[in-house]
Formats: sequence, C-alpha cells, structure tokens
Amino acid sequence: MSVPSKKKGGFRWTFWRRTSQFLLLLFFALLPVTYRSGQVDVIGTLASLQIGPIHLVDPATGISTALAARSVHTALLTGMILPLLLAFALGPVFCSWVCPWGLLSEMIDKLLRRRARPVPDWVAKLRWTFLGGLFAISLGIGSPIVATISAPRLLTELPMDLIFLGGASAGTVVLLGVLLVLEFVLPRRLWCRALCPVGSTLVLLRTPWTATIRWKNATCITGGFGGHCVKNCPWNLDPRRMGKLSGCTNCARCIEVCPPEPVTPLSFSSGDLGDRASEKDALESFRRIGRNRSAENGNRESATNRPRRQTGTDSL
Amino acid sequence: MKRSGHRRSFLNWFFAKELRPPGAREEDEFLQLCIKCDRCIASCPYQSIKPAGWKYGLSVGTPVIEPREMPCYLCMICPDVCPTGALEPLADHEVDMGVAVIDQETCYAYRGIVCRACVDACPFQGEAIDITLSLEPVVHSRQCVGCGICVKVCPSDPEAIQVVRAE
Repeated sequence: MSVPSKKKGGFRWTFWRRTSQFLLLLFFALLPVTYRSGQVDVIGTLASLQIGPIHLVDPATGISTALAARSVHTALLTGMILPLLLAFALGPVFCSWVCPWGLLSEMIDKLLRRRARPVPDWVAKLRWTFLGGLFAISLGIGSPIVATISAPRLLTELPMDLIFLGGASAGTVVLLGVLLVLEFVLPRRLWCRALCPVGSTLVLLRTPWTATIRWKNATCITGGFGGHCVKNCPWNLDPRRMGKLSGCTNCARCIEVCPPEPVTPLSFSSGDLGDRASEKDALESFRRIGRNRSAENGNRESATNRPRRQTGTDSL
Repeated sequence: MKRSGHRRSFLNWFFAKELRPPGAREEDEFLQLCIKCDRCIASCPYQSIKPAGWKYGLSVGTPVIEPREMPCYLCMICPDVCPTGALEPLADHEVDMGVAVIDQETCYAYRGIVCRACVDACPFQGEAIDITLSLEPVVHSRQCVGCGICVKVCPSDPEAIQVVRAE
C-alpha cells in the first residue's frame, strides 16, 4: 500500500522517518532492562528524560505543571530549552519522527484504510479549545493534567511497568485503552491532529522562520488536481492550503510522493508556505481522490452508476 | 502554598494514604509538581516506588511506597533524579515520609513473646525505635523518618507496626 518513493534518487523521507520512530520505540522498550542493573544516567519517559548531562522536559507537561504549581522550578525551565529550540527550528517534528503513539496511530490509520477528506473548520477550533481547557484545568485544580493524559508518556511508561516493575499499572493500561478506543471511534487520527496537548503546544511554537513545507502553484504540473500529496498526507492535511497553525509536522511525505517534475512544487522552506490553492480547486482534488479510490475497489458502484471520465490528470 | 489546601481535597476524591518517596514536598504541592515521568520509580534500586492506582483520582501514576511490599532503604537516589522539584534532595535523617505506630494489641513484644525485629532492622536504631527495660519497642516520632523497614520485617500478620503518613 505504501510506496516509499515514486521519485528516482529522491530522499527517502518516510524510510528514515520510520527508522527514527522504530529506533526510539526500541530505545524505550529496552531502557527498563538497564534499570535492573542500577543504571540511572539515562532515565525517564517522554514526559521527562535525562540522557547523561542532557535534561529534557516535554513543553506541554512543563507548562501544565507550572500552571498547576503557580510557580516555575528551574529544572523544568532548563529541561524545556532543547525541545523548544527543536520546535522553533523544525516545527512539531516530535509528532511524526519521535512519538511512539504517532507511530501506532499511523499504523492503525493504514490498517483501517481511512482516506483523506477535506478538513472541516471545527478541527482547528477543537484543538485550541481543548488545549486551553487542559491548561485552565491545570491552573484551576492544581494538577498537571497534561502529564496524566499525555499519550507519549503513557506509552513509554508501559515497558517500564512491564519489565522493571513486573506488571502494568492499572492507571496506565486504562488511559492507554481509552486512547486506543478513541483512535478507532473518532475521525481519522483526531487525537494526534487536534486533541493531543503535547502536539498542540508544539504546533503553537512555530515561528515565522520555522521549517515549513512550501507549495508552488506554477511548478505543480497536475495543476493541483493530482492530489498525490493530499491523498498521502498522514495528518489529513492539504499542503496546498495549509496555514501556519494547521498542524503540519514536517514528515515530508508529500514531498516524497509528488511525481517527478522539472522543478518540484513541494519543498522545505524557512517559514514560507508559498501559494494557496483555492477552496474550489482543493475540493475538486478530494473528489478525484474519492473517485480513484472507488475505482480501486473493484468498480463496484462507480462502474455502473457513475460514468467515469478518464483524463490525463486523473490516473494516479 | 498553604492557600491551596482546598484544591487538594478536590484532587484526591478517594484519598489513599500510601507513603510518598523520601524528600517529597507537602502533599498538595507534590501533586501540583509531579509530572508522573517515572524517573524516581526507575531510579529506585529496590523497586520500592510504584505508580499509584485509581484511588488517587487525577493523580493516578504518581509515585507511592507500600512498605509491606518493599520499604524505602533511604539510598536517597530518587530526589536527585526528580525534574520538577516534587522531590527535594536532603539527608536521610531529615526524611519525613511518616511515623511508625505500634499496635500494642498485636505486637508480639507487648504480648510477652520475645521479638525485637523492628528494633534490629531500624536504620536509626536506638534513636527512632528504642526498646524499654520490659523489652517492648517504643517509637520516637521525632526521629522516625517513616521508611517502613520495620513494617517489612514485622513477623506479625497483619503487621503490628504501621507507618502513618505525616500530615
């Protein structure tokens, strides 16, 4: 189902992204084994991690804790520096290159073969309402609630519970179970796209110079209707209509699947989104994706009910 | 931070009284600061610290010690690895996790059977637990740090000595 690259000689972004995700998964799965021999130099979960002298704290968790305690501990601040710099420079790459829940969510998405749909406006509203709500609750009841429901924390805690303590704690299992159910019940990857406070905070941290996917209308040979990028985006985004806060995680899947062209329409830039496609054009390519999909599924309804018109741009 | 006392009662709907790791701040401050990163749990060489269950409401996953399973041996590693200051580094004799309380009804020594398991096991022998002339153990609550080693070694079932968390 997933063709890594249609371009010859193009950088295999998805291959390296999966390598990164799986290596980190392996790291957190094996880390608890070293605890048994009393190793405490590399220690922690994705809420907070210590690697020798490098001390890391997840920014969303850090903010939530500072609000709950109504004070900021020095170690919290110093731990947030590196993750913040990474988000400033490269955007929310944590979500697509590091987070084990992101990997799990992508796998479930592939398994369910969910397809790209136009993003409704309420997704963005939901994201900021939910994040604001969680921070408000942290402040109001004095509990870092972001830490409690953080998916990367829960998932990296699980191997520690199992290997080091010899049994998963009920809290971790129940919270992970709820998140897993949401993954199936809610629209495509909605937790990652709009609800996860860790991701939402990183999305907010974009600066005007953060690495961004740029789309150039003039060099897009399919006129924006090919839709390879839209069809393949793991975050259900349209690179031709993204805003700064749309939640693109720079996974570069769209760059990879874009057909070979003299000048590539999709590339990384420093904060420049490029051209914007019109809503009409975008909906048109979504319509075509849908058509192609039903054609893939054995011409059941489409062949009989709807006359299929083959055009040059239509054959994906 | 005293002002937030009312918030704490809301947090711990099903408030349980397991012990916190050594160096823990006062409970309400601790709950505000702990991000459940599990560093203290992972650092404990005795695996004494475990994540709390649902009895703790929203604070599920915060670290607790159940001395009957595994007490704190006061190695003082965990306060050093805490990234938020929920646990603060301090010397072992300054720890105040709770105070041991002897149940004289069930304690062997008080019932005339010779037993000084708790007295022998105490890391602050003679200071925190002393033995009287009539061979009965007595806890000095000011010196007792609440590590729970005495609970672990108590031969009585259920244990005749328990650590009550400092309030």
